[in-house]
Amino acid sequence: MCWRRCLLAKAYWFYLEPFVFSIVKGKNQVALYNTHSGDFLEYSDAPDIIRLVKRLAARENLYVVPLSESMLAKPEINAFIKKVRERFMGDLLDQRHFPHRPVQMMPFLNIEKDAEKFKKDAPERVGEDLMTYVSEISLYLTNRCLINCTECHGAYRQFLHCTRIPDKRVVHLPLDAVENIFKESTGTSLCRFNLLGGDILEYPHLEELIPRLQDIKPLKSVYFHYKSISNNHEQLRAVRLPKDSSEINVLVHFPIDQRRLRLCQEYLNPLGLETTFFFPVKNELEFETAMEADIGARGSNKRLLPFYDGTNLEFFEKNVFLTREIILEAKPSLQDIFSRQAINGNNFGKLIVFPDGGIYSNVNFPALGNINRISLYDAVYKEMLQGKGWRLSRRRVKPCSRCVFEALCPPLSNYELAIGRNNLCDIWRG
Amino acid sequence: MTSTVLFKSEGRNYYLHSGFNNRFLLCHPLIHHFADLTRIGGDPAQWIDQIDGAGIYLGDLGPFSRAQVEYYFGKFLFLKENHYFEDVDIKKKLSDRLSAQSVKTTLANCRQLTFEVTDLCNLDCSYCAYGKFYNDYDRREGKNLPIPVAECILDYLLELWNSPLNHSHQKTIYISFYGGEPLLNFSFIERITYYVKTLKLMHNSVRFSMTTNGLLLNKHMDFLVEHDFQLLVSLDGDEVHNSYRIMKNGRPSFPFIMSNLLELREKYPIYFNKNVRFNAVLHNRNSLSAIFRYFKGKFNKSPNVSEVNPYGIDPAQKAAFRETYRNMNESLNQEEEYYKDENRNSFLMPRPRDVIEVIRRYSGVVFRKYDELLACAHERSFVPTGTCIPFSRMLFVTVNGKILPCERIGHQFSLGRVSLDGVELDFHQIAKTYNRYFESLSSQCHLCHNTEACIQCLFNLPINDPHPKCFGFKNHKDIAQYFSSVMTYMEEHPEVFFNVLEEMSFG
Repeated sequence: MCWRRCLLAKAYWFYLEPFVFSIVKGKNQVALYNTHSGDFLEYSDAPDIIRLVKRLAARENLYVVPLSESMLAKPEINAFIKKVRERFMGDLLDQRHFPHRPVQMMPFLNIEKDAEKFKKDAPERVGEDLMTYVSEISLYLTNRCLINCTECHGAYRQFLHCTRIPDKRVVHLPLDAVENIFKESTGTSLCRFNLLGGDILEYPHLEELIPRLQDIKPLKSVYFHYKSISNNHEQLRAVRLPKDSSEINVLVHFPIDQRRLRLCQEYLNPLGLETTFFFPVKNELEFETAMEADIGARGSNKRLLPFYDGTNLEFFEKNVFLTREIILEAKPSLQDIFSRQAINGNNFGKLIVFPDGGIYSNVNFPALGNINRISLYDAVYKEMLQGKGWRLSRRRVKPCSRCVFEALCPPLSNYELAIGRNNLCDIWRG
Repeated sequence: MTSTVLFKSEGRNYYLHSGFNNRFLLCHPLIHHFADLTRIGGDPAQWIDQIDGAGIYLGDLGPFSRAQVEYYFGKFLFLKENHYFEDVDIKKKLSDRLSAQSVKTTLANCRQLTFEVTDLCNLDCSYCAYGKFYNDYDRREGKNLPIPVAECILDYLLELWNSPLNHSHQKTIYISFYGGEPLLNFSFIERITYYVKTLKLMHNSVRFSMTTNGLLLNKHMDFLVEHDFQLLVSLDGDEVHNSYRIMKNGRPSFPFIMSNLLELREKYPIYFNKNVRFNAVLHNRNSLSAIFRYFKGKFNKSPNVSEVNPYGIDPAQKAAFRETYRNMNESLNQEEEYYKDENRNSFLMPRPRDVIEVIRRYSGVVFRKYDELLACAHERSFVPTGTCIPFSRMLFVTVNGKILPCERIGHQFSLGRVSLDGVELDFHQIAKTYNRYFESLSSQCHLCHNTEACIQCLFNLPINDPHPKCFGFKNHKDIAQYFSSVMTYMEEHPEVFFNVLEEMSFG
């Protein structure tokens, strides 16, 4: 690159590439992220560069600004542009050769059927195509369970897990409510039903439900506590899930009863279904133990789930919290960034129904209604209007909305809600 | 077919569009050069080796030093690595086909039911789609659509609208009345309006709309206002502009229509402001700017503007048709005052319309729905052509009970029928028919560079010919010119990018 030749010219167009995501936070922080290479340039104490990036990101400029020779001669600007060019994040065009101001279609997300836009300008359109967004429904069929887990009231708020909530009395989801859900989800893009309890084998209508599962196309993903399988293996034998569209998930808590874990594996093998063993882990010891746990048969998978029990923040800081290196290593694409701006990829399209009929987009937020009184349509419509779970993005919460990594970080998860802070990272300490 | 389009704006800025990434890039001419060289089988590295100390020129640009050339070669390789010169598998992209289930689901989500209430009209407009220029509609016999037939299709659709196949909630469905002149069969409109209001819709609400010439507004405005009708009034501008729209006795209709409009505005000003829109037809007696100026001045409104329909022309009338017909782009180009016209950025004007389509479909930043954010763009597939999926826009019932997917296509393409005996709609047959049409065009579509933004309706092509020719086909040169004109416009009006993104709601 010939800087001297460049400097002899009078003026340039300096532009950013449309695959570069520009970030401006407050008065004194800017960043540029190359969505192809993962290169990240961040400035917080460089007024000239900050001003330049803000000008580039301004709508009237469309990522292109004129730069004079005198501006280019400034060492800070010169060095900045050199870095931008080296990383192929932008370039200079000599105005002698290109006198007309060019443009870039800069990366600015537009969703045609955006509920936020419709709420303001065309409220009658908020409900358009909403059922096509529903991709996963979790049915808590019963809260009846004879196992007394300490995690009962906490784990389900962090990941899919059985629970006895609401636990003042035993409730079962009425079979006709389940039928209605199956019926109403016909027009959706549903690809998965999760079936959980309490102890799902204690659901009084299980025998009538199982044959119905044969008729519905989405994957049936059934959750058991490993002790319930060993307690109720006779009932388990009677559960004939459709082989081509079902899977089993087994929750294994610490301390592990190895004998019952082995029995569980023995009882599950004859079912011939894809099986995953989930180990909620709270500390390093449980982590190591779970890694070494023998889950036996071929066709079984193992997953470890960090579980916050209110006292193990240090475990989370060491193993779950993000650093800038981890965030940038993931190299989110421009589509990832757009997605994170608009929706919450952990929640979007998901509904949870509790045995008392409460229907939720996320169990950590208030219910959308009761399925015994409203339809799935009403519930999803309410979620589209509110946008609390499905459209919960970091741009709406503090401190993330003030952080340059806001759009680069993975979506808010239930861990943030469980721990009570949105920044599970070492980036924002302010 | 190469999916990467290299082009220059009129301001001589170099751009490329990557079909694979669906993105425009401003680029250095050396990038263009390397892309061209690679495309014809050349070796950029060898070419670089030949550069001497004096540097090289590209046309009248340069000299570019070896260091510059090496830099841009590095950038070219970076772009190549990130798929900017990779071809889209166009066959896979256009592999979607209809099924009976998909047609039925689309019908369950249909947003508009339009009745051709009567084929009677109290005007004799020269360019009428049911007039002397055309031969693709059923004979006009002074018929009215029977009310029981309309009730039959409403009952049929009610079941679908209330079924789980309807994936919307609280969505508005429009019940629309069309003609001829629909107000000539007012009793039908009245009865059906009341009938619709008795229907129990679980997931939708209903609004009524009508396209009218306005000649009978004075008689029926109270009813239309009471039931909150959306009105689209056909008016081509001032008295001269409107001179093709004549009464049966040959007298101009303009004074009577204007009198009715003014009366409506006087009596119901809020309704007039909110519910009344205009449609003007462009022809040889008006112009785009004159139309916009008239409606802005008279009613403070911007009209829809449509061209005289160029499809389905009776060969014997071609000369007369050509005399009348005016193309929107022509009108625009002839008007030197265009750039000064305050409507120049109106999104109803043709040039901004091209810009809108390019931003919508080729910028990579516009997503139709939320779930597209989670899908892999390369795995999405579409049907060939820009033809609407049947019933995605509307279900149109002609006065003879024929069922069509819209009011703008010839009646010979009917998809079913409704009569006193019931509704005949064979979804399997409809899917099969459309898929056959798609197959007959797909070989052209596989070579076309405008598949992302195609608006070509297959029913406006000679689709029953053994080898139908697509009028919307764009080869590499065509699309390069198209992109060039859009980018040139954007360079001159950069504000249009965000205007389009923020102010327009599509879909």
